[in-house]
Amino acid sequence: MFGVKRANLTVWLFLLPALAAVVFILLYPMVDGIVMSFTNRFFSYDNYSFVGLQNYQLIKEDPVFRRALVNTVRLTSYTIILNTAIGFGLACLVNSAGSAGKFFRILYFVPWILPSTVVAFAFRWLYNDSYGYINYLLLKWHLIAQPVNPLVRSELVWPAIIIPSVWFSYPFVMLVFAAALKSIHPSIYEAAQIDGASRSQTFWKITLPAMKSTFMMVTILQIIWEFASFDLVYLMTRGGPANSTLTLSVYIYKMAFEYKKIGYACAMATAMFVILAVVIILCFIIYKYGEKER
Amino acid sequence: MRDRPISLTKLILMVVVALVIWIPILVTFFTSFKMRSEIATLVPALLPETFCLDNYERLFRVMNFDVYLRNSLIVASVTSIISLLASSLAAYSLVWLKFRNQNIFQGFTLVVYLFPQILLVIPLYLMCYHLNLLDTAFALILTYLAFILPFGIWMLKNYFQSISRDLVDAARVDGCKDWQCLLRVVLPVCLPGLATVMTYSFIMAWNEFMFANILISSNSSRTVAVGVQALIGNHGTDFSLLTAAAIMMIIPTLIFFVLIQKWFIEGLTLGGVQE
Repeated sequence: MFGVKRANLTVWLFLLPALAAVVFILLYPMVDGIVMSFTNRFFSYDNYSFVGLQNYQLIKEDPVFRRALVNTVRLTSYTIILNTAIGFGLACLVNSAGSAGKFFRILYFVPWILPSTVVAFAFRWLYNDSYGYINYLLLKWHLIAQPVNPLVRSELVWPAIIIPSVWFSYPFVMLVFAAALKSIHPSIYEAAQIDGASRSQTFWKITLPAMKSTFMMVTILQIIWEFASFDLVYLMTRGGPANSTLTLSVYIYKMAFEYKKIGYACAMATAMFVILAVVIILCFIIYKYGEKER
Repeated sequence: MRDRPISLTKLILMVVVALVIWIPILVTFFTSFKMRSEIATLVPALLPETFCLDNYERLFRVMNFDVYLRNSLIVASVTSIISLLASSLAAYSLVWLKFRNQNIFQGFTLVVYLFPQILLVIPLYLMCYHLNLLDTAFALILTYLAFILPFGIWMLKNYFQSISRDLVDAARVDGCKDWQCLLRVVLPVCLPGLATVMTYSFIMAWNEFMFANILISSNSSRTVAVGVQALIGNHGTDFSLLTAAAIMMIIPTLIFFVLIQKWFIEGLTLGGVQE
């Protein structure tokens, strides 16, 4: 190769903007946040002291943290399971429909590009107990006697929050599955047809196994996104009623910006990061193991 | 692509699914054209009696919604242009300028994806507070850049790798500097990738809520995501006004998406399938 010496300076110049942004906005705050988790810092006051592992001890004894963790895992799992089912189903549907399918794929994809503020608001408007459409229809069909606002009823709030959560995250899953389905070579299907395989046999024996690595990849990405997601729950319920939908992100946000306990909030966020990292590493190990099996 | 005619049942199924998925959007859209008096009725119709633009007028004349739109437009366009520049430079050096510790840099750009935003926002808030950057567009642009760049670099790297090496080497033999190679040889053949990164960063910066909510405090510097939320807080039951605000907020991203959807969808799945 030519220009090795000159290349070094160019490399640095080319990498500098990206590297600077990532180091100052991601890496430095990350380290800073972990350091603050060992302090008793209160809001922006600069006099604080290191308290060792005290914050982490508090986490262990905090029942609200445990509740938020369980809620987060619950919301993440429900969303991912429904996303995968709906995303895969719609991918099969649009892929089998030729050029009309391409058009509908765009229509089905639109919720993904909508802002969380609008999604949360649109669903709150649908759920509204005075003038909302869902209550109107349910009353009209005599399914309920009194109008209800599902967001303030602890037995209804979970489906009410899962529906929008799935609604604006399934499109990505659909898109990736649609591309993966297309990458299965048609000759494999033709061979199966010649061998006299039925449609359901083809589906279970060819299509599904070919989706294995896509499925793992999509699931890992979704765990990263959903576990840390904040907007929808914060905008729709703020964790209520009575903490029944409180997720880790929302609890940490409240601790930092409403109760101003920065040290404790950072400790919880660090714990959350560690949990997420362990889960993702486990997923990768399973993924690599599965690859070797094949 | 074989293009067999599809069965009627499949077509009907797809239309029904599309309608079900679009319910929240359609309801919001039609509500925004209803008169204020028409909202407070016990028998809500889907379509407004008369399409009136009253709500949109109120939004701009009384609520200064144009200020929010302008702030968001500035933040989103600057973010998408800078992220395009920075990520194509970085992706170029990853693909064509082999350097030591390249794997560390590449691994690093993926690991930062795992950092929970809620952990970053607390120190970032304090950092901006100390640097006097709170309530500025600069703070938002910088934050969004850092979140978009790992995705942009990764995406463009995939595109750049699909170009034949000879093309770039030939340009170098002809005496092209690296920046000329990038500008004249690489970028022109990677337009779909550039469009994807640009659209993604524009939409992400336009829609982002949490950081904008924390880093921006004054009404005049609010982005549209925070502005809509503030309107909901102040006019919670004025649904005709709020739905108009929601529609105004999604129109720019919808236009952007419709124009570039072919490249955008292709680009997103390219990144996804190649992992």
